[in-house]
Amino acid sequence: MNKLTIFGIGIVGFFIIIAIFAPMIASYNPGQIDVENILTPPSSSHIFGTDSLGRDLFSRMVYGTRISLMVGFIAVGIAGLIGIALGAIAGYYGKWTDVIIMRFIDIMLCFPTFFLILAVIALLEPSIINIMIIIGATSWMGIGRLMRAEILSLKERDFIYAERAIGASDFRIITRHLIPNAMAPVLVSVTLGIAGAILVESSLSFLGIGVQPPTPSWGNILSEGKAVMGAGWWMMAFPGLAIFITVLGYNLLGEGIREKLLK
Amino acid sequence: MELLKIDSLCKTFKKHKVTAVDDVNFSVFKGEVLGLVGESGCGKSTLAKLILRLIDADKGSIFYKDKDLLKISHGDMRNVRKDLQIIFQDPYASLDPSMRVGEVIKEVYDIHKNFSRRERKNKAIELLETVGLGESYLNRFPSELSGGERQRVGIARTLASDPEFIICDEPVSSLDISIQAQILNLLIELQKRKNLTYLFISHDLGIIASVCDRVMVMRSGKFVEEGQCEDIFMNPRHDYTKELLASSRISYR
Amino acid sequence: MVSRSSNGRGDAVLLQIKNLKVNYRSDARSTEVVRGVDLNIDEGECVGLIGESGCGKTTVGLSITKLISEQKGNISSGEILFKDKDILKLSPEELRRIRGRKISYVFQEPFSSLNPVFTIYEQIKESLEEKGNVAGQIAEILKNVGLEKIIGKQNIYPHELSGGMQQRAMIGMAIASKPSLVIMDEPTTALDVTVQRQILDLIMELKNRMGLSILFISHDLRIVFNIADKIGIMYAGKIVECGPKEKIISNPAHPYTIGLIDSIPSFEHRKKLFNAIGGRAPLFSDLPEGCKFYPRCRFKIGACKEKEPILERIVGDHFSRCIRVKDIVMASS
Repeated sequence: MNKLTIFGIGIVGFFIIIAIFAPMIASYNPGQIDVENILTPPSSSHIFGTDSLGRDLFSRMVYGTRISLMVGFIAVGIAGLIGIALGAIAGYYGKWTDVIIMRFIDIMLCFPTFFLILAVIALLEPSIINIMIIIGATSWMGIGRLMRAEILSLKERDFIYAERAIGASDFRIITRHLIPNAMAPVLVSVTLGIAGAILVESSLSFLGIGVQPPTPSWGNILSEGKAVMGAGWWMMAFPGLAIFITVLGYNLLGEGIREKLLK
Repeated sequence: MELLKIDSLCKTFKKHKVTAVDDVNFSVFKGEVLGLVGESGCGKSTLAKLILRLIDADKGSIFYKDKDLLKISHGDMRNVRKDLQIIFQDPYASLDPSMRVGEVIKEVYDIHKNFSRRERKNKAIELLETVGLGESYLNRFPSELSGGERQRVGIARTLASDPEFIICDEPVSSLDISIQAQILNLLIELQKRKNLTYLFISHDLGIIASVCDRVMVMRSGKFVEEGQCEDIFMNPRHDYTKELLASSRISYR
Repeated sequence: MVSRSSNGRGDAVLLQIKNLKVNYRSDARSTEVVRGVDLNIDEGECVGLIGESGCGKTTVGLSITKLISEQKGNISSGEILFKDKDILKLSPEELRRIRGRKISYVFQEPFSSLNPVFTIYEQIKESLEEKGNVAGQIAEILKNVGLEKIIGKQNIYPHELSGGMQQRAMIGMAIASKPSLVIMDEPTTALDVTVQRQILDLIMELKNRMGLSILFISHDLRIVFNIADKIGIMYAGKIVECGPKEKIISNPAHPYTIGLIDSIPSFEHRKKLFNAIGGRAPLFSDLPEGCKFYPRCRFKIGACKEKEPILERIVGDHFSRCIRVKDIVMASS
């Protein structure tokens, strides 16, 4: 396996472990305010330093990992479900069903997604659940097209005719035979999509309409960091690095999957 | 007894402007092996898929035991599919690559809701043995098998619902000669032992001659000649049949 | 002038393959696929190389002009003497003068061998040896391969032709350089029966008229028995029987050959079972000890699995790689 892919797996795995074992890794309570130690630089007691309320940055970052990964996975999960389902139905049934779904995808793609998300969040309240749903509901189109394309070619293969010949229902054919065999490009898209979702969440939080303080998210920590810029470089550096490395990791993993599966 | 009767069957592919099946009429009788020979593009594979309602026909009737398959419900058709089955040509394309051999066969029981879990496994082993494979193949994936082995698995799947009538669509054309002979032997034995009825499709006259009782010759969607095997080979009447025979007299005998 | 080697009958030997060994490398492993093949092609002779998939016959064909290296193959030893010069030792420049010119190829799928973005005319022109009178030469070639219909039509692309016509065009390109040897690998397998017959007749005609030598590689015994003068049968990377066509048809001397002949479907069979060869061909990574055909052989005895037999002369040019050759020849006569 490609060395870069292994590197990507390492990064992804690393952050997943941190997210799962957050309470054991964080040295402080992320919400613990300590007025005496406002904005202290990285030291032996606070390895990432503290923020403007004296909270340990490292611990906040660790818990922020949970949020970022959770949003990433669930948002992409929602996108995946919608995209796979609609793409499969469009590809399998063709004709009017296909036309309607594809035009719907075209319409969705016309919207500048990020601004659509902004508008929707502005109307609703910026809760984590809303963010996950809205990101999921606006990023399924690519997956949908990929799934449809794979199914269009797969459904003409002999083994699908064979399934019909033994009496399999459309539902069985789509769910047990077509979708599993069509997953390869979708898997790549999903992996890269997680990176995208994490970026979107970070951006929203950075703008203040994502995850709301005091819940820590890399994006809103970054936002705080911008406010104190000169006085606390660690407040921007660490979350910035974390976002960068995570996105890099998922991209490498996605490319690795692409190479392996789409030979 | 007449098992299958095709009346005025037509199919045109509008996109390609091709009439694949042009007003075709014939019958198949129980226990016989009826050969259908023709070159590529003559419509024989389309005909096979039409009979099983894998493609929609434009016009005509397909009577299986007096029921018009083009008029019955999907539920009834599923029942008919237990008796009326097909073996496909390409062993590399006719099995779902993500399914193990055992699952491929057991799926037939899952669809028709026969037999308990344990019985299904035993039936699958029985079928694998019938086709010359064995229990060790249950957990293998198609990608681990040779062409001949995959074709045997395909035949096992076809036999799972205990059919009476099997359409063999070029079942050995993709196989090496030595494996061809093995699979043809298997098909001949099964036919004799279970009194099966075959509609045997092939472009290879040698293969048709070695397994069929009666033969139909197809060209451009129509039948040009039909008769007993001996008659077709010894006394061909239509020019096209003669041309086919002359071309395949590549036989050194 | 040094006279070229000749076979016993005085014809000049055009190509001599001696102990050719080719292996393929994938990941860390190297698998030998051609394990020591000897084959001679005389001038004006059609040699048929029969074998089932994976026996190594295509590799032999590609190795003759070292085309195999482009497919991760490695010719590990042997000599390929073309007019007494070892092709394997030629410089790239000398090799290029032979490849596609003195030795040309016709492959199975004309659709994938013809370049879809160039016209037929342009592709034939590329193969021409003489530079003058291009239109005239091309017209001559098209006439020779039965493509009179497209003489003068310089803008025809491969996809506009039928399968049979595409194959005729391929053959046209192969003979355009007036080669000495044409290597054909399953040239008619993808074609309909009636078209097959026409192409085979064309090949025979060209061979006789131009004095071509042909190496005809195929799995279809019926075709090879019809078209070849001399036949070699390959199994698991080696030739197991070779000799003049008439001898092999009338007195097959290797169990594999006999099995193959018994597997040919024909009117004579009439729903009787075939005397088929059981089992499957061995994987090159897992060859059995001794004779490689042993597990599937109906004439096997204990001694067969001790040592792989060598190619032994039966009579004249007829050879077989089997220790029981004498018993077999007795049984089939």
